[in-house]
Amino acid sequence: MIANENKTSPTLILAAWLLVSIPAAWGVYYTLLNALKLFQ
Amino acid sequence: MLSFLDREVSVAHPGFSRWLVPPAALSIHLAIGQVYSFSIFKNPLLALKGADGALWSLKEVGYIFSIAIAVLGLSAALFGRWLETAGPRKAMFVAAACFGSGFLVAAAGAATHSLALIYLGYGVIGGVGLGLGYISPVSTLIKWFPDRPGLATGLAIMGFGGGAMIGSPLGTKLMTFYKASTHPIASTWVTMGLLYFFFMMFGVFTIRVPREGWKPEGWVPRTTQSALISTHKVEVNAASRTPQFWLLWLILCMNVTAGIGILEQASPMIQDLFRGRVSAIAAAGFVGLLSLFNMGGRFVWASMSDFIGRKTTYFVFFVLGMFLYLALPFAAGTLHSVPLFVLVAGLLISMYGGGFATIPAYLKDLFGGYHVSAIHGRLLTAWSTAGIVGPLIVNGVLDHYVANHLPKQQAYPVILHIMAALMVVGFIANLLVRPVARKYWLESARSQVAAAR
Repeated sequence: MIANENKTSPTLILAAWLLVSIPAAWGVYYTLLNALKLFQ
Repeated sequence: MLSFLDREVSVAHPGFSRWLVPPAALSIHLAIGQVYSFSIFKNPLLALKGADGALWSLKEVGYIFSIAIAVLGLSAALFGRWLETAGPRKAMFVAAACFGSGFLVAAAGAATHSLALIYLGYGVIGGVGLGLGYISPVSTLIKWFPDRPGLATGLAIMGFGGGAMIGSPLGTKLMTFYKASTHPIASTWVTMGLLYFFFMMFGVFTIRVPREGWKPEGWVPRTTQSALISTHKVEVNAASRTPQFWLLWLILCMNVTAGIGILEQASPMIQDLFRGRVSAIAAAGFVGLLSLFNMGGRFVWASMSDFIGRKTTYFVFFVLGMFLYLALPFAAGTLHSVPLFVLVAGLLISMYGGGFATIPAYLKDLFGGYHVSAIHGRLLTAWSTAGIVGPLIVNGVLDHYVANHLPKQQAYPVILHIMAALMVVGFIANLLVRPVARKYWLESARSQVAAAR
């Protein structure tokens, strides 16, 4: 029964996480750059 | 034609990994979180001239954001029940369509200098997208992660905090890109509407609901657990009649009102309290740092609540929060320490975000997962209320000091002491939370109706 299961590919999971992580990381990077002004 | 949106079609096949669900939810929350960065459009909108040379006032432009947030709360409360029957995929699709098309209608408003169209587009249509998008993945995540509901909802709601961090640089860069065009704001909004719509479509096509009876591999529900964790279902209308719903409403309202007190006034507050030491640019950095704490707090506190329990988590927020609100003026006035002030404010904002992210799991504990999105939607009216009450307190006290020619710095300790008092109210409300009475359980309600026949 288990052999018939169409398991989700780890690559697909990684791609899905990258798709949301990349824009989020881009936003965090800009926010960090802005936050650093407090310590300059 | 749109049958692929039906709940039945979105049931996961055997072997589907639940780890695809959080990114699907994140794509929705990262998009709609853009609303928190709306302030970047304020100055460009104020400079926008009509055909007759007319300009909009700050108050008129400010209403755009207020309408969007008010409609968010209303639509989350109104459409929550529909979402439970329609399923997350259909709700996410409608959210994406509303949020994306809201930008397009608002763009038409910016191009024709019609504020009414911007109110309708970004405020009303976009606001429905915000409300539906905010609650749509919640119950699905809870069903996929019965072992870690706090972690799952924390991940998604963290996205809402992170959305502003993407929306702000994206909007600024697009406005610079379209600077030479006839309608830079309209072009920016058309681009953002399309980008966000397609980004949200990833969530629409990826989301799945678990099969009936599915549970994580190897997971055995605990036989002994806190009395607050319900094994029963409570329907949304019945939940709204319980004292627990209104106690949680008060808990969320107090936590958010106090947090908004800092967030709304963060930049002028640090400049007023450290006059001559913190510039306007450094204050902008402080605001950026607070948004990072806000985002991180959503994930960290909600995940931690899976281990220490929801009630304990809110006790931490209210007890620690009360001391920190009292310590904040001390860090500025007596110790004159900028790093300590920033650290205390950051911790407070992390708990503000944590309060938002932990509430769905608290609802699930009390009312079960059956109608949790709909109940969550109704509870979000506490957010709308706090959005009005918080700034009213802060601006009311500040206006009083300014009108009486008193130093503005002296107003902040008063404001922060009021926030500490709100923490006490929240603490008492949390203390009063008890398990939901049997008469509200779905099975019990059905049997009562059957007995009455």
